[in-house]
This record gives sequence, C-alpha cells and structure tokens, in this order.
Amino acid sequence: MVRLVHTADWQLGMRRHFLTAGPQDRFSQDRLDAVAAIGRLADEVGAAGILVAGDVFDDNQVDRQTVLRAVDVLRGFPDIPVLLLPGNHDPLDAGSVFRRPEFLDACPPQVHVLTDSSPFELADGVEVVGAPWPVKRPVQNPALEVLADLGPTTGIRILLAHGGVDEVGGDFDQTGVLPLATLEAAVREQRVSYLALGDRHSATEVGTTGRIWYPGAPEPTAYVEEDPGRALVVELGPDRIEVERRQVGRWTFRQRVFDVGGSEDLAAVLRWLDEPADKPHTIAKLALRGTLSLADRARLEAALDDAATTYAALESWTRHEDLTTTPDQDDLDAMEVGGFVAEAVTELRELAAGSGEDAQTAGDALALLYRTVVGR
Amino acid sequence: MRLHRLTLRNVRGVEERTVELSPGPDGSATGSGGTGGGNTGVVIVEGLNEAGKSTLSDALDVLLTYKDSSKHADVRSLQSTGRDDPPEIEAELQIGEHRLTYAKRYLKRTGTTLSITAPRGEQLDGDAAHERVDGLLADHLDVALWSSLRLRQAEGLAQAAPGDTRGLATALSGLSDVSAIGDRELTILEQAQSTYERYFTARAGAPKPLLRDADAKVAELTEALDRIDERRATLAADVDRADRLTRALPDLRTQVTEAAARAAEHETRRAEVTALAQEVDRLRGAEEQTTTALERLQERRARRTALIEELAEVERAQQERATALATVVAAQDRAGERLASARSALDAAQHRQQATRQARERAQQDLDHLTRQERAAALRARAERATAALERRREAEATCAEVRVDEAVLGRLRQAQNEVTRTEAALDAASPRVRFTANRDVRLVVDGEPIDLVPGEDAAWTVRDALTLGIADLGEVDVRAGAGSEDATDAHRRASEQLRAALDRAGVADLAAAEQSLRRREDAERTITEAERERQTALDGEGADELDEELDRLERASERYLAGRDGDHPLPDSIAAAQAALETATAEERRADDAVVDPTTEVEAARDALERERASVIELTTTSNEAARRLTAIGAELAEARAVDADDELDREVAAAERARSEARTAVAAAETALADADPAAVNQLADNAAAVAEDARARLHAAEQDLRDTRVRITALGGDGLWEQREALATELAHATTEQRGLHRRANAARLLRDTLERHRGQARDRYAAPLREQLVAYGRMLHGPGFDVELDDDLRVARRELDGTWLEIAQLSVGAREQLALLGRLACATLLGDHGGVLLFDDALGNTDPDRLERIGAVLRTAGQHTQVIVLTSYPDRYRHVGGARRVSL
Repeated sequence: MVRLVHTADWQLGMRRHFLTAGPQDRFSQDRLDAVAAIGRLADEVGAAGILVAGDVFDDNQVDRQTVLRAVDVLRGFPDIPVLLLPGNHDPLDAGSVFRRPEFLDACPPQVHVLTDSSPFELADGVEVVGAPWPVKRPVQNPALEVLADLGPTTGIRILLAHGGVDEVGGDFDQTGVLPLATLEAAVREQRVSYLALGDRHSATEVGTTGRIWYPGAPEPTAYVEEDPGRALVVELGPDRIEVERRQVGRWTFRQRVFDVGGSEDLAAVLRWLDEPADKPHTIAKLALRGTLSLADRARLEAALDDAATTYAALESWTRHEDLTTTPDQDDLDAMEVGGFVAEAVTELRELAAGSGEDAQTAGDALALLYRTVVGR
Repeated sequence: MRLHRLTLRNVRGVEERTVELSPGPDGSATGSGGTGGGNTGVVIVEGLNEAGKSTLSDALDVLLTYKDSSKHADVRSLQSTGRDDPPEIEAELQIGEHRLTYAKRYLKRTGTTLSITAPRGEQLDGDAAHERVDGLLADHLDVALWSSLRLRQAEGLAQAAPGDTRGLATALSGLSDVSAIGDRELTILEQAQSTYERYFTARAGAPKPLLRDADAKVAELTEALDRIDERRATLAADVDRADRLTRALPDLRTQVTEAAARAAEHETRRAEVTALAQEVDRLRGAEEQTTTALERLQERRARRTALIEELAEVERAQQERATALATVVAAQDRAGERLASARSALDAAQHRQQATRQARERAQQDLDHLTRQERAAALRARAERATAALERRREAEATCAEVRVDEAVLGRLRQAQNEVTRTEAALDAASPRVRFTANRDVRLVVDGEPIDLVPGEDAAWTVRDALTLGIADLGEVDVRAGAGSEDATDAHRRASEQLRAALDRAGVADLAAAEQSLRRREDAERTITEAERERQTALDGEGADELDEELDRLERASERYLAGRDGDHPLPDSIAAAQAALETATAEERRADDAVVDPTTEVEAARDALERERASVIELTTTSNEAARRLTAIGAELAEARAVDADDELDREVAAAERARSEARTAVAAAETALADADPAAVNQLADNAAAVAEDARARLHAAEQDLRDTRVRITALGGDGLWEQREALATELAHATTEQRGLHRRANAARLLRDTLERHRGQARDRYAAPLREQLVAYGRMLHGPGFDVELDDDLRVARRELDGTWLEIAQLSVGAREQLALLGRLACATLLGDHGGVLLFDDALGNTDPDRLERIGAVLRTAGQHTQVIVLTSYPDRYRHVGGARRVSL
C-alpha cells in the first residue's frame, strides 16, 4: 500500500499571447504557486513520492530565471522522492534543461530526473520505471520500448510515461501516440500496476482499468481544457487503487458565442461577463453574432471595456464574430440629428446593412457618431 | 435685434448725447406692409467727420461685448477727452420679444443695470445683467455673423463670408425646406473632424504617427521574431547534431580498437622479417672480412715475388752500364781535341778581318776630308759675294737717308711756288706802276739805288709799298701805293714765307735743287734693290750667319782630321784618288769577312760534340749510382719481410684464407634465400596499410569528439539564453501590437468614413441653401443694375463672379465702386434673410465710390432691406442717402 501524488504538464515558462504584462506575471506566479500547492498536498496526504509525468518546463530553452524559480519551489517540497520525467516539451536531448548548470547546481537531492528506464525504488516493493523522451520527435513513444521489456511483477510497478493516447480525444501532437490497447494489456498482465501519464491538460481517467490516468495541468492553459487545475492523489495496493482529484489551481478559462438580436440578448452577454467571481484570474473569449442598435452597441462596448480592465484577458473570438450595427429609431431620436448629418446617417446605415469590411467600418462610423453625439 | 435708442456720456469727445434710432413716421408708413411695422426701417445718422458717428458704433460694440470691469483697449479707447468722469453707455434694445434698457459705466465707479420691460418686467445689475443680455443675444442672433455683416468705411470692399458662420445657416434652414447646416450639425462635423485628425493630417489626410508607429511596431516585432526563430532553428540543428554524434561515438570507438589490434598483428610479422634481413646483413659483413684478410695475404705474397725479380734485373743492368761508360769516356777525349784545332783556325781568320776593316775605314775618312775641303772653298766664295753686296746696299741707304725730298715733298714745293707766282701777279696788278722815260740823260735814284737813263730810255717800277724816286738833283718823287694793294701784298708775303719754310724743311735752296735731290734719291733706291738681290743670290736661301758657321765647322773638322791622322800612309792627292783607294779597301774587307765563316761553323760543331759526350758520361754515372742505392734498399726490404715469415710459410697462409672465404659466401647465400621466401615488401605494405586504417579510425573518432564538444559549447552558449521565453515574449508583444494596430486602423477608418460622409453631405447642403441667398442678392442687384445682373457664390457664399448684361467678370476684375456695391448688397441680402435673427446692420459710410445715378437705386434697395431688418447708416454725406425713402434721419 503506497500513496503518491501524480501530476504533469507544469510547462513552467509558458507565456500566453493574449496576456498583457501584468496578467502574464500573475499567471506565471500562480502557476508556480500551484506547483508549490502540489508539494503541500503531498505533505498533507503523506505521500511517498511525487511523480511528474513530463513537460515540467515549457521548453528546453526557458529563461534561467524560470529554471531557478522552479528549483526554488522544488526546494520547498517535502523530503520525499520527486521524480521528474522529460517529456516532449523538455526532452533529454543535448540542449536539455535538466542538464543546465542552473538546474543541476540548485536541485535538491530528493529530486530525480529519470534519464533512462532503470527502475527507481520508491519504497519497499514499489518501483517506478520512467520512459523519458530522448528527443522532441522520437520515432515512437519511448514508453512502448520500455513496456516491451517489462515482465509481470508481484510488487507494485508504476510506469511514468508521457504522450497522447489514441482512444482519448483532444488535439494533442500525434508524435509518440500510445495505443490504449497496449497500455491496458500491460495492466491486465500485471506488468504495470499504475500508468502515470502526462501530456493531456485535462484530468482524465483513460480506458476502463482504473489504473491509467492523466492528472491534467495544475493550472489551466487553454479554453478547451475540461478539468484542469488538478493533481491526483493515488493510493495503490497490490489489488486495489483509489484516485482522487484535488484542486491546486485557481485560474479559469471560459469562452462563448452569443447570438444577439436585441437588448435582452445583450443583457445575457453582460450577465455572462459579470458572472466570474475572480475576474483577475479569469481569461475569457467571446463572439457575437447578429445585429445591435447603436445604443446597444455602445452599451456592449462600454461593458467590454470595463471587463477588459477587470479580466486577466478578454479576447474577441474573431473566428465566430459576425456583428452588424444598425441604428434604430430610438438611436436616431437619441441623437436628434437633423440636416446634413441625418442624410449622412442614412447613407452610413445603408452601407452598414451590407457585408464585409465596408459594412463593419460603416457600423463603426455610426457607433462613433453615436458616442460623439449622445456621449456614450 | 432692434436698437431704439443709444445714449453716451463722457465718451471720447461727447459729453452727453442721445440718439433716437427708431424709424421715423415715413418709415412707419412705408413699413406697414413689411414684416415689422414701425420697428423696421432705415436710419440715416448724419454728421460731419469727427462728429462721433464711429463712436456710436464702437460704443454699442463695447456695451454688448465687455463687462463693466473690463480694461480692454476697446474700452479704454472710449475714455473721455478732458473730463475725469467715466464713460457711460445706455441702450434701449429689442431682442426677440424682449424690450430692455441696458446701461454700463466703465473704468471708474463701474456698474451695469438692466431693465427688461417686456414680455415680463425684470431688473438685474452687475455681471448677472451682463450674462442675461449675453444669453439673449446668443439665443437670438449670431454675434460673429452680425460683426461680419458690419461694413466700416475702411473695409468697404470686403465681402462678408457668411458660409463659415452658423447664424445664416440656421436662419436659412428656417426659411427653406432644405436640410440645413445647423449649429448642432456643424458641431458634430467639427467633432468628427477632430476625431479624424487624431489619425490623419487635416489637409493631406496622411496617416499620423499614431497609425504609422503602430504599423512600424508590428513590422519591427515580426522581424525580431523571425530573427529569434532563426536562432532557435540554429540551436535545434545543433541539438540534433549533438544527439547524432553522441549516438555515433560508441561505434567509432569500436572501430578504433579493432583497427589497432589488426595493426599490432601486422607489426609483429614485420618485426620477424626485419630480423631475417638483419641476419643477412651480419653474414655479408663476415664474408667481407674473410675477403679482406685473403686479399691482404695475396698482396704480401705478390710484393715478395716482385722484390726478388727486381733484385736480379738491377744487378744485370748495372753490369751493362759499366761497359758503356768506358766507351763514352774515350769519345769525350776525341771531341776535346777537335775543338782545340778549330779554334786556332778561327782566330787567324778573325785577325785578317780586323786589318782589312781598318784600311777601308781610313780610305773612307780620307775621302770625306777631301770632299769637306772642296765644299769649304765654295762656301767661302759665296760669303765674299754677299758681303760686297751688303756694302753697296748700305751706301745707297745712307744716300736715301740724307735726301729729304720725295714725290710728296716735291708736290708740296711746287704748289707753294705756284702760290707765290700767283700772288705776285696779283700784287703786280694791284700796285701802281711808275714809268719814267728819260728825255735826257738823267740819273735816277730809286730807293737809294742810282739808275742812269739815256734819252729815250725808260724805266718802270711797280710800287709795292712806297718808292722814292730821286730824279737827278731835281728832287725826289715819293710814290706810295694805295690802300688797294695792301691785301695783295700780304698774300704775296704769306705765300713767299710758306715757300721758304717748305724749302727749308726739304733742305733745298729752291725748286730746281729739290728736283735734283729727288732724282738722286731714286737712283739710291734702285741700288738698294739690286744689291739685296745679289746678296740673296749668294746666300742661296741661307742666312749669312749660317753660312759662316758652316764654313767655320768645316775648317775645324779638317784641322782635327789632319791633326789625328796616321802619318804612315800618304793622303791621296785628289778626290778621285781617294775614291779609288776606298773601293780597293772595301773589296779587301769583304774577302776577309767571308774567310771567317767556315772556321766559326767548325768550332760550333766541335763544341756540340764534346757536350754530347760529356752528358752521356754524366748520365751513365748517375744511373749507376741510383741502381746501387736501389740494390741496397731491396736487400733490406727482403730481409725484413722474410724475418716475419719465410716464403713457404706465406704460401700456406694464403691457402687457409681462401678456404675461409668460400665458407662465408655459402652462409650468406642461405640467409638471403630465407629472407626472399618471407616476402618483406608485402609484409611492409600490409603493416603500413593496417597502421593507416587505425590512424583514420582514431582521426574520425577525434573529429567526432571535437565536433561534439564544439556543438555542446554552442548549445550551452545559446541554450542558456532562454530563447524560448524570449520568443514567446516577443510573440506576445507582436500579438498585442497586431491587435492594437488592427483596432487603431478600424477606429481610424471609421473616423475617416464618418468625417468624409459628413463633409460631403455638408457640402451638398450648403450648395442647396446657397440658392436663397443668391436669389436675394440677385434681386437687389437687379434693382441696382437691371435684369442683366447675376452672380455666382463660392463655398463661403461670397460672390465669386458677377454677370452684367451677358458679361461675366471675376470679382477682382470689377471696379472699386462695383465691388463696394456688391459688398453692401451681400450684407443686405444676408441681413434680409436673417430678419429678426439678425442684429442691427450698421454701415459706416459705405458708398464713397458710387456714382449719383446708382445712389438713387441703392436708396430703393436700402428701403426694401429696411423692411426686414434695422439698417443704420452712419455718414458724413447725407446727400448720398437722400434717395432712401421713409428713412429716419438723425443729425449729430
């Protein structure tokens, strides 16, 4: 009976292009905090070791500062073996981050980088076999070779591996994909007691054996992730297994496409924007389809401007955006325009009712006029 | 707005003045059909220059513009001249439906009061009053337009530009159903323009730095990202390379080990072959030693044999030489005797030769002596001839020296003589002549000289100077030459003196003597020539001294010869005899010479023969001595050699050495065969090749290791830079910059579209409402110029061109009068359209250049305009405006 903490895909040094400097700093710091939280979790549950199934770093060429901060967090970990597996982001090639002096010099002694598949004795009768990635694009997943050499065991054997599994959805890199059948066969034949995987950022149980898991990334990194921000606490005996998902991250990604036709629809959008309790740690993306009056558009833009200042990031989902601006009678009444301005408005309305960039520009021009006249 | 009354106190030169400006009874009557009844019309304010017309206008401006507290120059310009009291202005006005009295006092004890009587009573003072009126004005008229419509004297030609102001537009929009350029709309356009100018330049519409910078930033970041991606690619290539090399190293190391093992095997084989070759070398050395020993022994034996043979030969030759020496000594003695006899014969012949030579020499000397004597005699004769000739010549030369007369001297003497003769003749001619003819005997004493005459005889005298003629005792006649003869006398005397002097110089008494002297001289000169020729002939080209020397020498030689001559032989008596003696002696000598030749030859031959025999003796003696020494040496050497080993012992040693060499040769041949069988060339090539293969493998391994080290160094260098995060940071920045750029461009495009659209519609609108203004202007113009008048307006609604009876002219081409009329008409048209929205149209004496005929028509225009708006004309020439019907006239 052994208890472990299983995590992966820290991808330290990652930057998100939609984040500006301040939120990016927050994001980076929180991702380190999440890693620190994993250490505290292991302490809390009395784990015998911490398994990190690949992609500790976002790339082998991360900043020296990133390496030093990561090592600093590792030094705060409890004094139990911490096994780091080189993954496809940080493979064990000639430029490996794990061979850089700033890592080697400061890395605490209980942290071990698995550089080959020789078993690591985690506890009496508990061994961990790693399948480190030697290069970024190997011919096949190194785990397949390791599995082929493993015979049945009476003890507890954990395989620490990295890569996508063919039966699990997701737009992962197809390099080094693992066939689920091979993995499940290894479990069934008792060659492996637990398959600690990494690569997929959503916490996921793979297959039906109950012994193949992705812990997901400790903090979310993209909108598509299903259950990120987790670490797994795994309790493993000769004939039993229990896996618990524990929250370690605090960030949220959310995205939505809205169809709008009037003020009520706009209100739904504004409610959605207002929903998150922790907007500074929320990244949102939305797209609007449909038609808005100038007044509604002004309200929308004001709300979006406000949200952009409170959210960590607010992206326009341009792929799905299809919004037309048309002044309605209320807009015209509000603007009280007469004379030649009224004539100009008529012309712009006709232009905005069309499609393409000109229509968008005309809509923008009307909105600008509306703001100018009505004062937002 | 209507101005009913204006009161000024202490303003400039005005102490107090109230001007009532409501239109008069005429105005009321004519205006009844107009819009404003009695409240519209024209007021003509007349007064002389400086009467204060402009002051009225300025005061109204100040009242409506400046607060009572203002110290503006316009305000201060109103200050009273001469009085301390502050300026006060009070006006009674109608603004819209408000009727009010408005007064301000400036600069001192300032104050403002406002009393509104209609529609509701209202009393205000201070700034509140000012602001109330400001508000009313802003509500009811456009102050800027009002100001622009005023026409001052100084700017009579300028047109108002109503297109830029809003009042007209607002007014027009109320008058027509076209969409207008309202105040609000123009504000919107201004705001749109200002938004537009945030992104684009106002005139050219070029993007401003805001847009350009955003574009530049995107381009810059894209480029930076490309650069960092390139470095990443370089790094990735190095990482691949390092991994490849790392994988390749074990194989390379195995290759090195294997190649080294193979090379070692081949080296062992090479060592074996080398040992065989060394054995061959060693045996060859041994064989060479046996050969050397044998050769040395053989040499010794040959030497001994040669000595023994030489000893026998030398002894035999020595015996032969003893016999030959005896023969040669005998021959030497015979040759000595032959030489002695030949020498004595030669001595005799030589003695005879000597004697004949002396005889021949003596004969020759005798001949020379006689010849010399003969020559001396000839020389002596010539010398004597020459001496005689010289003597003659010297005598003649003395004669020449004595005679001083020559041809030239003689010529001069003859000339002097002629002169004397001529002067004498002249004197005679000039002198009186006295002739005395005696009739009887008589004695005359002439100048003391007595002359006796007989009868019939006469005597005559020429009196040169004076003549004293004593005639017997009768007395004396004294005759004197007259003055006319004195010159001739002088000339004659001078000529005579010159002749005398010339004769003295020539050393002769008279001319005849001179001619004789000359002849003597010529004779002497001929003698000199002849004597010299004779002397030269005698000398025959030699100098006299040379001749004497030669003669002297010959004589001395003869004396010497005679003194030294041997007296045994007589001297020949002639040259011929001497020559004969010489020939005989010469023949004798030649014969004696011939007789010496043979004995000389014989002596030479005998001497040679003796020398030859003597040399043979010496040679034989020398050879014999050498041979004797050689015999001694050979004997010594043989004895020494035999002391080492006897002759038979030496033979045995040679045989033993020959056997030893034969055995050594056999051993060498056997070793060489063994070496050839081992094929050393092949063994060496194989070993060399194996060594090269091993070296190649080491080099490849070394190169790979070095490459790997280098690559790792590069990876460390680049890999430590955190390129990934740098790249991601840049990509993030680029994403933001792109978003910002897109947003900026979107906003800029919207601003441009809005502004362009508004501007276009404003233009269209203005074009439309320009029509009523033009219509009104044309209506007034036709009142002035008839139906042939038309105008075109520009964008600012100013007149651009004017048509009159079919002719269009640009405004600048018009006369001053026409321009001032157009300016007035434009303002009137504008004010007419504004109506109640307009202010008071104040003209400050506007028609200075308009002819009287037009003034009448303008009167009608003013009256018409006055029915729509209040028109106040300030003028010093009220007569100009007498045609304005129904106008109120105020005189200052």
